[in-house]
Order: sequence, then structure tokens, then C-alpha cells
Amino acid sequence: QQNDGHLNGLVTDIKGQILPGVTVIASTNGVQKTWNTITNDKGKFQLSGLKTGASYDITFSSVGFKKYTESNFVVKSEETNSILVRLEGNNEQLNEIVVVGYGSQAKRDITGSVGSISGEQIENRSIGSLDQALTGKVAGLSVSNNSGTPGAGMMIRVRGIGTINNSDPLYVVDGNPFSNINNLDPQDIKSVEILKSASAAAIYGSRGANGVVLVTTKKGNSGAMKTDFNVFTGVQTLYKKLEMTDATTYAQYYNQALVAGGQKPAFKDPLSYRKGTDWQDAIFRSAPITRYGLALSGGKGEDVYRLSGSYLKQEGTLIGTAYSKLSFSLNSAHQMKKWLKFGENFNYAYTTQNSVSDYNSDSRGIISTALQMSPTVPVKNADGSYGVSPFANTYNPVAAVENIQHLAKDWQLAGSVYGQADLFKGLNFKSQFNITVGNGRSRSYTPVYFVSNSQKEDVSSLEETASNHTQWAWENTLNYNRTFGEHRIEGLLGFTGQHSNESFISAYGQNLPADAALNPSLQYLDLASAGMSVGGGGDEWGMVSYYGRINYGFKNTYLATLNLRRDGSSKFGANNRFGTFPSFSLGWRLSNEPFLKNLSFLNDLKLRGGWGALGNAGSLSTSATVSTLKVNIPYPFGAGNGQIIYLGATPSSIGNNDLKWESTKETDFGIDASLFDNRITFTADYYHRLTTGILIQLPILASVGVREAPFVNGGNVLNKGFEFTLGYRSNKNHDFSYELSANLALNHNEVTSLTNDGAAFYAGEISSGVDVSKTAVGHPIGSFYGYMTDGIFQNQQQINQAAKQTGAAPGDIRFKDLNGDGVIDDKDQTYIGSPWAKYTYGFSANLFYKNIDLAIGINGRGGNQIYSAWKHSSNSSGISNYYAPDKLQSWTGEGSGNKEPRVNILDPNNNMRPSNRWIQSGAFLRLNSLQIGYSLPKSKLEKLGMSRLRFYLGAENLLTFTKYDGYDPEVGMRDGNDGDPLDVGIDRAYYPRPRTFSAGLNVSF
Amino acid sequence: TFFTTPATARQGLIAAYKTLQSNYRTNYPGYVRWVFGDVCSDDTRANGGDNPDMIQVEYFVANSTNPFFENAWSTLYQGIHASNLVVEKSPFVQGMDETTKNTYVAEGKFLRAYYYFNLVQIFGGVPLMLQEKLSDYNIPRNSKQEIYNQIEKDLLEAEPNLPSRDAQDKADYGRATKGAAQALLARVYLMQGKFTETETWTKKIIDSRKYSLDPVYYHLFTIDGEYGPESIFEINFQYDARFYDEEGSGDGDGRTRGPLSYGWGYDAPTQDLVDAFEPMDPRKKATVYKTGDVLPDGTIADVGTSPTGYLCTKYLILKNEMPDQPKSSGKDQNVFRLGHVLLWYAEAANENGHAAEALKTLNEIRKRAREGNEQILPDVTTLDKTLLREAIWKEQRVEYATEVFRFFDLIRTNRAAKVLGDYAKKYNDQKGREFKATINELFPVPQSQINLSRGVLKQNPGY
Repeated sequence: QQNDGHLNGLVTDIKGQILPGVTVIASTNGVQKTWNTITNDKGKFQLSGLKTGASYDITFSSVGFKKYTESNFVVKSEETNSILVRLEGNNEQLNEIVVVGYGSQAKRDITGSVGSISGEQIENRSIGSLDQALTGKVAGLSVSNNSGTPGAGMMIRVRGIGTINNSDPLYVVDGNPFSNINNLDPQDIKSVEILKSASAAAIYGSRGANGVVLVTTKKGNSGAMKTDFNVFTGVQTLYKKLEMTDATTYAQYYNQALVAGGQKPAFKDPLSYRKGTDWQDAIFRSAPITRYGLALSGGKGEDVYRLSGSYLKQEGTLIGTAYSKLSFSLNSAHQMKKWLKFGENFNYAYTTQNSVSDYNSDSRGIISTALQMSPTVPVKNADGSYGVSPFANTYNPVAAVENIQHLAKDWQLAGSVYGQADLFKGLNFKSQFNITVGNGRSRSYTPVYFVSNSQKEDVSSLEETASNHTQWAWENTLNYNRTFGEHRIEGLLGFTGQHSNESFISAYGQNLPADAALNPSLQYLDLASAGMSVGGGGDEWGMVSYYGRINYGFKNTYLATLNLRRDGSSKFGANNRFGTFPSFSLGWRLSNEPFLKNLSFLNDLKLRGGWGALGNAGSLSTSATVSTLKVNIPYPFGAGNGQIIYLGATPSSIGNNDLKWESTKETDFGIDASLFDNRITFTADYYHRLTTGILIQLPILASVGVREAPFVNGGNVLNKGFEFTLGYRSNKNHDFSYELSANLALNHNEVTSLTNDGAAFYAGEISSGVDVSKTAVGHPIGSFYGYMTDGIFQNQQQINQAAKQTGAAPGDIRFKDLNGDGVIDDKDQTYIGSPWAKYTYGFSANLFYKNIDLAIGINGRGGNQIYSAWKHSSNSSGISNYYAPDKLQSWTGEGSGNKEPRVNILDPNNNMRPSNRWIQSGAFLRLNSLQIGYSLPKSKLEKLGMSRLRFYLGAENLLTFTKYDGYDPEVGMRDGNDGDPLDVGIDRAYYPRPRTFSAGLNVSF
Repeated sequence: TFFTTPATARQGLIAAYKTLQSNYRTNYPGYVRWVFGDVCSDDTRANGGDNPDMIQVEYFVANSTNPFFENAWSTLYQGIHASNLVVEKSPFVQGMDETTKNTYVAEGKFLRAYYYFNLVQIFGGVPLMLQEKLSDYNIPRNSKQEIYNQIEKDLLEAEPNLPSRDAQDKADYGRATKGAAQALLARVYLMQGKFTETETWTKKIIDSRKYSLDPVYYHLFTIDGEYGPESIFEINFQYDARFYDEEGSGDGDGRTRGPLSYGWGYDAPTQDLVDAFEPMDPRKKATVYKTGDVLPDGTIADVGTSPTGYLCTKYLILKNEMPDQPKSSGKDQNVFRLGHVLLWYAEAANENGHAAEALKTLNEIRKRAREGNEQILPDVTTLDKTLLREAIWKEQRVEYATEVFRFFDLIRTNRAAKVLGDYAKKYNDQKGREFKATINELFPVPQSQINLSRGVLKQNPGY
């Protein structure tokens, strides 16, 4: 026997895809010797020095595959021995290819923190937009409802909130930075990846500070054309109604309040009003929602295509609101030469949105008006005219909706084309050009109408706005991917140039033809005969970026990733235009180490850690670095009606040329484990994320006299927390199988410094000039601030004994004298709550029994508070209707109650002041989605010529367990995602998210 | 290039005037000078059922976070900033003649003095900003006296370079004149109890013979009466659809103090004010109205939910004054008119021992008020200094009721605590009950500003 035998081999997976990095061990008992090697990037290996004629056991192992042993392989002498091995995957999760910035990676090799959601979790849901599908699915991804308005986006935050500026993550769809992911149809989504840690997001440099959401759309597969048809239809209803007082009770309270304030009662005979009008019934309705989707896909070899179209039609549960979305997607890929590939990817969406005036931003919006409106007033009088409040400050909400017509129409085309060339061994070049163009138009027509003296328009008017945006990005990347023995190296070098331009014009005119209200073809500005005015504006910026990444793996056990990105943005002054953002992360697969190899229950165990720096230009205005003038300041000179308006100008802001990027530095430690035949998977992360130099308009002394404070890099914010994800999947071979997944995230948010000590940001105006949100050092961003209550004064003696509280009488709230100076004044205010959840969690279950499937999505949060601003009017003793459960507890005499104060129209004690009286826990547990489906068995499908036929019933927003009194404890941001990021968790009776029941059908053939 | 060419300099000047319109704005549209000047006095009530902040100011229980203070402070400083630019930059504008430059500087100083005078009346001493200053601006409050000194200095420097009323082009009405500077200076002196100077400067206006009393009192408060013979300084308003939303350049007091049919119905005159008018005084109808009254344009009045049952006639928008947007009548605000000046002259003359002149002037006002009806408002005859002083004060109250002087008249004559205290007792009312002498003469400095200054700004005593 001679030691000159060679063994050449090739290792692939079941589908024949080559597998690099597979460990190959040959051993023979006869000589007690082991040969050890690893497959190269072509999946090949060679073992030499084998003993000819001897028999070997050859073991192939790789993470994510079942270990395979070729026993008693005899090496023949002087022949080329060869072997072909196909390894069977044992864990779909670990082998999953996860999309990372500018490429993809096997999940098992990732050293940063990445969460992912598969298309299956999205496509079966009866939802109209993608963001709703993200709720509760990934630890550390918080999704909150801003408004139930059909078509409105949700507030999405990755790992807390790091800045007071725009905190929306960056959305990238198939490599194309995307402004509105809700233009996509949920059925077109293959997967969504959330790059959470800085080390994972760092390849996006200055755009990744708030996390990155990578969306990959479905592509065609080689084979005959496949047709997928999906439809669902459902009904949306108001989840709950708030219990307001009926007309008689309202009239009694209001009379009491007036008399207590020394005025005459307003209602002569309260009992005559009985139940009165339920204004919530008047403005809410059940509303249908329907979505159709059709997709065609297929291909031949490497040439694949997919074409899809969908139509969503949704009415809102609030009268006057509706949404529709028509979208098309097209993508294809073509293998021109063996080394050259190109493809394209387009998405077009056309949306229409009917909305009602100011339901979000105005404290007198339609919903809060309906809550405030006196129930003694009918919606309409017997003669058909609208019911009118006898009091000036509430208007008829139904009349408000019916008299104002607001319609917005938008379209957006987002697309990319790319070419990809394999240059030589492991090196390829990709060039992708992305372009997004969009156009929006909106029109509001207000007819002449008269409801009451305070709710009327004497002149008809039409306002139209047109906006457009164009954004392009050209990305060029070189990829290198090779394995040298036990070393695996991937490299990336890239260059991106991008540019964004948006502008709008608006026009307004009055006095349209009298019948324009009924005839939309008369609603054009050239028919307006007075009051013409125009406006406009725009914003433009450009950015260049250079970036690179190296992934290195040794023996599949020691893993490292290094990123570097350099960005330059036109938004910054010449002094600080460029920023550099490095990151690294390391991984150690302990399960490959000899000392753990014998633990048979342990399939995979990886420790990882990383550090990264990211930048953020936030919502920085392009003009922050230059001083601006406020122009067109009108002031008239002259006499009588002959006065003429002249236009003035004055400096309105101070530019700061030293502005630079906000910088986020994050350290992340994580562990990934896979146990018991990969049935149990576990991931845990700890992160510490410090954002420094946040771009803020630090308030300056008003005595400077400039309206807008200058932008400065003025503060630091810390987010730290833990994230856990635990999954279990049963054996799929039985009739009954299931998958469970639970996640939990803990976050601590704190402002750690503001340049201007003692400065604070106030936001969250709940009534004229009264702010309840304060952002200051040592507290979470946007904390609630106000007084602490201490029960109700039961008698004069208690008032005399308490700290001096101007205007207090028995029945008023006793406020706490927090600074102990014997006087209740503004120095006694303190932090009374935070809108940010201390913990969020999600749970999902997928159960399969034969042809029946059941999917459950649960999510929740806790440790946060809600400021119930809507109660400000309903719990007052003013002219608004009252929230019955609270008002019933009003103090009426000594010992009659210790929660709600007496009723007095003047409120001399200012019981209404911001205080913990308005704070409620925001904790909830929600059964967010539930679906039960039935699929026709394969045998029957074949007869029908189908590959899939599934019928399902679904529910969204099904059940919520909470102690919160308002419509929905999931309170996002005021004015939606364009709103003030500091105005969070203040519930002004926003448009509540509906509960939806639906039935749907999935067909494929 | 801003403020280096004649065109941009003019833009800067216009911006400096703009703050007049947005006087102490809280929310758009503001115009709540009258909350301090009238509502805090015994003359009117807030009627702010939906505006508790206003009621707290009225009751002297508002603390330093009340938005009325914050807004008054920052709005007035915006005006000061714009005026400082005019004063500082006008002399260096290329291609502008010297006379125009001097006039611009004088107007800038007039406006600056006006804004500081409003600040000092409300808050006492404030930081004195005289340049466009973007660093080292965190300075302590100057004393009340230093602010008054600066106001006097600015006005004394401005007055010689401002055009007299008859030299002003009609198209420029609304820009500062010599008479406007003299009237403001007189009021500034009066506010400080400097009667000699008050007499001097009011007499200058009278002796200039450029102003005369409008024969019909109510005419002063109509659009037709704008820039009539009695008008010394007005804040201009003009409706223009293009700027409907631009801080309401068309919205005078008609919106805030107008009736609910087109306004907000704030600022309700008290029974006490109504009772202060002598029998049959025509000025009463020109000042207050109640539901059912026939208004000057013939319509029947409705005061809605007014807590006192009255609203202000002077801020009505008459039918013939109603443009397309009724809230934006374009009616100007009277700031100074000869009627005010005569009564200040009378008061100062009496204090300075010139009782005969004082009496004569007082009776001129009463004569005009009579509008020819000799049965009413008999001449005052006393030459006793104390009795005459009382008579002049009484006349001031009714002659310029709801024209935002009352509270500051009570303060400057040291009557506030007594008058307001008596009011609370007489009507058993919260109004006036909390007024404390030596504290409530001034309002608190906004807490936000104290915080931002890191304690450099000190709060007024008692807050």
C-alpha cells in the first residue's frame, strides 16, 4: 500500500447548487489518521496522500446541512478517485439567504443584527399595505398606528428613537431607495429584512442611522408560466365607541357648571332631551375593503420574468374618507452571455385618497368635534338643515365633512435597470441605475354654505396643489467572492451618486360658479373670479458615496465583517460636507469548536459582536446652512379703502456653516443558537446606541428677534436595550405541525445632553400655547411634563392646610407641591410619562392540520404612557360633551369622590392644566391578525389543473386588551409621518384603526 | 444683499411695521393688546370660555408659562429686531438719498421705541437689544429706567427727522410722523409720571394745529374715519385675498372682538364701564352694545354668549365695510388720536398747576362728545386740583374706553389695587380679587426665556 492516492470531489446541495466551505474529513481506522479540508468556491475539494486500497469513512459537514458520511470508500490505486456528494439541508432558516446591503449573505454567516420577515407571513394577510405586516414580527422593530385613515402610513422605529429629527428608517426595495413602501402590493413581497445594528446598516452610511428596511420583491422562476390570483373582500368597523354622556346628562352637567360659575343655566328642561344624538354614530360607518391581485411569472433557464397588478379599494370608517390603489410591477432578468446578465424592476402605483379636513392636526378635527358636540343637537333638523350647536366653538361635524371635498391623487413610478458581469474568478461588477418619479395632485373645493354663524363659507374657493419628485441613484459595485482552502473572502467596493429634487406649486381662487358644488367639471381655477393666489416651493440635494466591505470567514467558524463608507452631501456647509462611517463585526461559531462538537443537541451556536458608526442628515432642511429671509411680509400704507399692501422682508433664520452629520455609534453583542435538530432557534442581542450631535434647532432667546432658531449639532441621545427571539418548529412530517415564534425587545431611551444646558424642547400642543411634551437631558425624547395630582379637596380646611393654590375651592384637584415652597406654581411640574414603550413583544403561530392552516399574530407593548388629550375637552366643565365614565365620578360634595373635580365653567383652579390626570398607561396586548385557511388537496387540484387553491377567513385588529380609555392605545405621531417627531403618544382622538373581517381566495395554476 | 439697496431697505422697513399688526399675537390671528390694556382692568372681561389662559391673565393668576407672556415677549422682540436693522443698516444703503436715509432711521427708532414701550409696560425692565446681535445676546435685564431712557432717546432723535402730518403723502399714511413720535413720547412721559415733559409734548401737538377733533365721535371708529383730522397714529389693516393667511393683514380687532356672527366675541365690556358713562352720553352707544340694540348700520345686535351682556361697538364691522371675507374688514386700529392727547395734556397741566388750561381742554372733549346736544354732559367747572384730577380720570375712562389704555392708566396712577379690589367686592367676583399691589403691576417674564438664559434673566418679584 502506498500513500499516493488522490480523491477529488464536488459537493452540491439537493438542487445541484455548488456548496463552498463544506468541511470534508476522511478517516480510516487502520491508520488512525484524519484528512481534513474544505470545499472551494466551486464546491470542489481534493484530498491527497491517501492510502490506495484502503477504505475510508468520508464525512461532509456544513452548517445548515445534514451531516453525510460516505462509508467504506475504497481508494483505488493510480486512478483518479472522484466523488459527487449532494448534501441535504437540515435547516431552512440557517440556509436562508438574507439580503444585506448591496448583496446577500447566508443567514448563518451574518455577524450583525438582522431581522427578517418572509413573504409567506405577508401575502396571506388581508391588508392593503406593507407596513401593517411588520407589526410584532421582529424584535426591536416598533410599528405604531398614526391614523386609521385609509392609505395613511404607520410610524416605524428601529431600536427606539435616536434623534428628534426624522426617525424613519431607510427603505430600500430591490436596491432602490424608496420613499413610500406602501405603494408596493403586499403580494409582491418576497422578504423584508431589517438591518438593526449599526454594523449591519453601516454600508448605508449616512442614510442608515435609523435602521434600514430592505424589501425584496418576488421574481419569476424557471419553468412554465405560473399564474397567481388573489382576492379578498372584507368589512371594516369601528373597534370601539367612547362612552359619552347622553343629552339629558350633558344638559344637567352643563347647567351645574354654569351655575357654579355664577352664570344662568343654559338648558331649561334637561329631561326633555333624553338620549339625544350619538355623534359617533353620525360620523362612523362600516366600510368595505377589497383587493384583487394577479401575477404572472415564469422563465427559461436564467431568463425569468414576473408581472403583477393589483387593485385595492377601501372606504374609511369615518365618513368622507376613502382610498384606492392601483399598482403594477414588472421585473425580469436575462442571461445574455455566460458572464453577462441584466435585468430590470419597475413598480408603478396610482393612489387616490379622499380625506376630511384636518382630522389629524386640528384639535377641532372631525372626530374630536364629534366627541365634543352637544348631544342635544340633532344631526339634521326636521326641515333638512344641519343641527347647530348653541355654543360658538363646536361645529356640526357631519356638515363639515359634507361641505368640504378634498381629493388627492398621486402616482409614482419607481424602477431600476442593472447589468452584471462576471469578470474573472469570483469577481463581478454590477451597475444599477435607480429612478423614482412621482407626481401628486390634490384639490380642495369649498362651496358656499351656511350651517351657522360660526360654520359657514360666504365665498366658494378651490385650492389645487401639484407636486412632483424625481430621485435617481446610480450604484456601481465590484464584488469579489472566493474561497481559498479554509478561508472564505467576500469583498465589495462601490460608488453611488444620487440626487433628489422635489417641488410643488399651489394655486387658490375664489368665487366659482354657483353650481360648481354639484358639478365637478366647473371646479377649475379659470372659473374663479376673485382672490387668486399662488404659492410654491422645492427642495433639491445631491450625495456621493464611496463604500467597501470585506467579509472573511475561516473554517466557517471565525467570521468578520468590515465596512467603510464615505458620504458627501450638498445639505451641509462646505466646512463639513463629507463624513466617514466605519464599522466592523465579528462572529465565532462555537458549535464548530471541538469542545462543543459532541453536543448532539446543539446544531449551531454563534456569538457575534460589532461596532459601527452611522450618520444622519435627518430632516435637515437644505437651507440650514444659509441664513434665510422671510419675504412677502405684507403691510398696508394709505388711508381708508385705498390702502395698498406692500411687501417686506426680514431675516428669519440664521445659517450655520459648521453643521455636520448627526453621528450614531452603536455596539451590539448577540448570540444565535439552534438546537434539537434545529427545532428551536434562539437569538438574543444587546445594543448600546449613542447618537451624538443631533441636528436640532436649539431654541434661542426670543430677544434675538429671529423667528427660527438656527440648526446646531446640539445634543446626544442614548438608546440601549435587549432583544430576544425564540422560535420552535415541529416536525413537518405529521398531519399536524406548527411553528411558533416569539420576540421581546426592551429599550431605554434617554437624552444625555443638550448643548445648551437647561434647554428643553417643548412640543405637543394640546390647546392654544399649552405644550405637554418636553425633551430634556435625563429623560426620554418627548416625555410628558406637567403637575402631579393629589386627590380632591374635600373641604375648605384641607385647602387651608395645603400649599397655596390660587382659585382652589372644595371639589378642586389638589396638586402636589413638589418643590415644597408652599405654593403651587409652574416649578411644581415634573415628568409625568413617556410615550416610548419600555418593552414591546410579538408572538406568531402558524398551525397546519392536513389542509387547514391557522395563523395568529399577537403583539403588545408596555411601560409607556398616553397623554389623553381628547379628555381635555370631554372632562372639562365647558361646553363640550363629557366622557361619561369619568364624569360620573365628579365631586359633588364632601366625601363624594376623590378622582374627578367639581364642575365649574370657569375652572378657577385650572383643573385642566397638564397633569397626570390625563396620563394613562399605554400597555396593551393585541390579537392583531387571525387567519384560517383551507387548501384543496393536491389530488383534487390536479383535476382542476391548478397548483393551489386556498380559501381563507381573516381578521385584523381583532381584540385588544388594555386599560386605556381612548379608541386605540397604539398612538403614533401627530400629523402622520410628516409630523413633529416630538409629538408622539398624545391622543387627540385620532382616526382609529378599524377592525376588519375578510374572506379571501388564493389560486395558482 | 439684503438691506444694501433701496428696494431691499424698503422691504426691511415694511417688515419692521408688520409687527404692529401682530401685536402680542398668541395664535394666528393675534391682536390681543387689549387683553393687557382692557381685560386686566375693570372695563372688560375676557369672555374666554374656550380660552382659559386669557381668563388667567384677567384674574392675575397666570403663571410664567402662560402663552400670552411668551407671545408678547417674542413678538415684540421680532419687531425690535426688524427695527434695529432699519436703524443700523439704512445709513449705508447705496443709492438712497440722505433725507430718505434719515427718515428711515427715524422710523426705525420710532418703531423700536413703540415696541420697547409695550415691553416695559408689561414686564418692566427687559434686555436692551439695539443691534442685530447674533452672539453674546444672553444679557441680563436692563432696569426699567434704562429702557425708558432709551425710548425717550430714540423718540427725541426720531422726531426732528419725521415728516409732519401735512407733509406726508397720502399713500404713506401709516408710516410714522412727527405727531406720532410726539404723542408716543408724551404717553411715555405720562406713564412715568413726568408731568412737565408730558405737558410740553402734548402742547406741541396741540399747538401745531395740524390735528382737530372729529365732530362725530363714532366716526373715528369706521373705515371712513381712518386718517381723519383727529388721527395721529394708526395700525393699518387692509383685506387682500393674496395675504389672507399671512398673519391676517386684513384682520383688525373685528375678528377677535367682533360679534360671533363673524368674530370671536372676546372682550366683553363690564356693567361697571357701562355705568361709568353719564346719562345720554352718545359715547356709550359708540362703545358698548347689547342684544337687541340697533347698531350704527341698522342691524339688530346679538352679543351671543357674552358673560356681561355687552360687546364693543368700536370694533364692529359695519355692513358697508364688509369685504368678501367678513372677518377681514381692513379696519385700522387707532393707536393715538387728538382726543387721547388732549386728556393727557389736561391731566399734566392740572398736575403742573395750570388748572384753567386743564379745565378748558377737558371741556373741549366733553363738548365734542355732546355732538350739539346741550342737554347732556355739562361742562366741568371745578378748579380744585384733586376734584379736577378725578374729573379728568373719569373722562379718560369713558372717552377712550376699550382703546387699551385703562389698565396702564390704573397702574401709572397707582389706583389698580383699589379699583380692582373694589370691583371684586362690589360684584362679588373673582375678577380683580387676586391683584396684589407691588406684584401685579408687572406680568411675569416668560419661563421659557428664563430657562433659555440659564438664569441670566431674573423673574419679576412675586412670581
